[in-house]
Amino acid sequence: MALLSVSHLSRSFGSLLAVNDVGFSLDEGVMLGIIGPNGAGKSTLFNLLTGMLPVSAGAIVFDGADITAAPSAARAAMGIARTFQIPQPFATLSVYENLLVAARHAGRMSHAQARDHCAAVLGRLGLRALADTPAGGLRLLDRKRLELARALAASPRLLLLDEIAGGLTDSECAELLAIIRALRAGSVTIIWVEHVVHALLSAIDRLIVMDAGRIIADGPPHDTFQRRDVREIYMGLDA
Amino acid sequence: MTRRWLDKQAHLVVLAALAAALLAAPFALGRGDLRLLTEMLCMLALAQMWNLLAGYMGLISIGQHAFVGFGGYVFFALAVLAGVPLLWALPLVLAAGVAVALPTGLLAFRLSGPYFAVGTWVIAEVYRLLAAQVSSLGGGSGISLPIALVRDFAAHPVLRDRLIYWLCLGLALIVVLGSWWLMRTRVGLALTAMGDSEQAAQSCGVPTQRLKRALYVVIAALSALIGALIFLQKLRISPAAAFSLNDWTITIIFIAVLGGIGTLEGPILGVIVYFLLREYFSQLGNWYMVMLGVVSIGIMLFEPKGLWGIVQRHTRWRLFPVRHRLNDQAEE
Repeated sequence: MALLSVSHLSRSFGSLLAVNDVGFSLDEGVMLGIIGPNGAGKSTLFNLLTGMLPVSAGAIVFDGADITAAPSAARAAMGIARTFQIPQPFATLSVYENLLVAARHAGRMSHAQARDHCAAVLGRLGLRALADTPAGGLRLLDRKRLELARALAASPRLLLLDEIAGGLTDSECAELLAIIRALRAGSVTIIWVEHVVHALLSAIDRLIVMDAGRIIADGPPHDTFQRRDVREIYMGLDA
Repeated sequence: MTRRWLDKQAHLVVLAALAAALLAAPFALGRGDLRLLTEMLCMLALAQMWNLLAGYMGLISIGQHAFVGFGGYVFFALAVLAGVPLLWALPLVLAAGVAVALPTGLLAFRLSGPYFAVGTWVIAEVYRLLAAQVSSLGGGSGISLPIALVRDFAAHPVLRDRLIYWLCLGLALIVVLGSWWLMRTRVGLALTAMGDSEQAAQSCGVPTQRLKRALYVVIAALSALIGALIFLQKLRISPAAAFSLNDWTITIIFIAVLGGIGTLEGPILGVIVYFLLREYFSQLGNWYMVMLGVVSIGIMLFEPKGLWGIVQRHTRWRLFPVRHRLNDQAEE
């Protein structure tokens, strides 16, 4: 059975259909990439999946339960975690406390469990030494790492990555990519929206291309990206 | 080893000494000073609760006087109209506070940001007008507590002042230590997180709306109880005094801002400095108000973390430590 299935999902802002009749389903353990030009509806789709925006129409089923109307916090507790395109650290808390929030609430761990788990996640992401420093003062790469670490602190079953490689240098990007690849061993299901296509294609199992709120292509990453219509729309190439 | 233990537990020693001194204060202070200290404790409790609402949850309420006044009026109504003994009326005020906060919150939480702030103010104004309509409670000019009930509560005025003081001290301790306990739990962690990014807190599984509403109701009920105690001390209530924006909201905000919003120590420091200013400068009349205005603008512009923020630049010592550390040995 699919871990996530989305059917006829739509969201409009006034007369603009930001997400238009989108449907797909995702099996456990798969890493799905989503690309599309600005305004294609990728971020709106994430906000619908996490409950940050109410849907206009359609249904979202996660692990057999209809979560279309569930509030964000409830979805987080069911195992859906996300990162934000513009990192949103809890600036007055320490790096470790940032993770504790997710582990204690969405992850429903006891304090002792949370402590061990967060320590392990921080170690895996190379943030262990920064654990007790305030999150507000981190540099960009560490903020991105913290976004990922906080999402993982909840032990999610589905992880949504929103342009996590954006704004990083090539070497920083490679570092982050290695971490994300390693996650797959832990059987986390991932949906990754990204503009940095080369990073994305090297990691994912399946690619969805969106344009103007619709899914225009869905398939194996390299074949799909080479499709003529995808290149036309995504790369702006003339046929 | 002993030295290190003492360093780590110094805040407990200070807190225990402070609590013991406050508990014994009625035996050392004259009536006037004791009444002043009672007032300080009430203001401290109100400021600490406003700090939880605004400093941690971003709920800028400028209508807390709605609950102070409501509590005072319910207390007087129970005494005057139903003849309920004063001590018994107090828990009933608490229950009435919950009962009125639920619908009030339902209304106020339909608004957000600045609209919430103005909305809470308007609601308080409505309560004041309603209180003035109750002619059996003296209408617009107010009413006094029946002397027989006051004598039942405490036969002698000195004893009465002491009892009220200890009740206020108990309530202030519950509020301050309760806030401290709360901030050390996972809920406190969530409250701090919400202040930084509500959206991110939700994505970490924090039910932010539910938390806000729950805390709003608890704080409203405790504010009503404080209102009852304040007007028990005054023995008289009127709509203007009970629903005073100046006394129960503006002053409270001043104390919290002065001491430091978003810290547990701030309101304590703020209440001490505010009462010092008031004792020494209030005879200046209008210039005193101008001075308070200048002080609060100065703090907001140059020291947004308040007086406790200044203290924290020089020492990492906290009276109420709430932080969770992973690498303990990393401590300097």
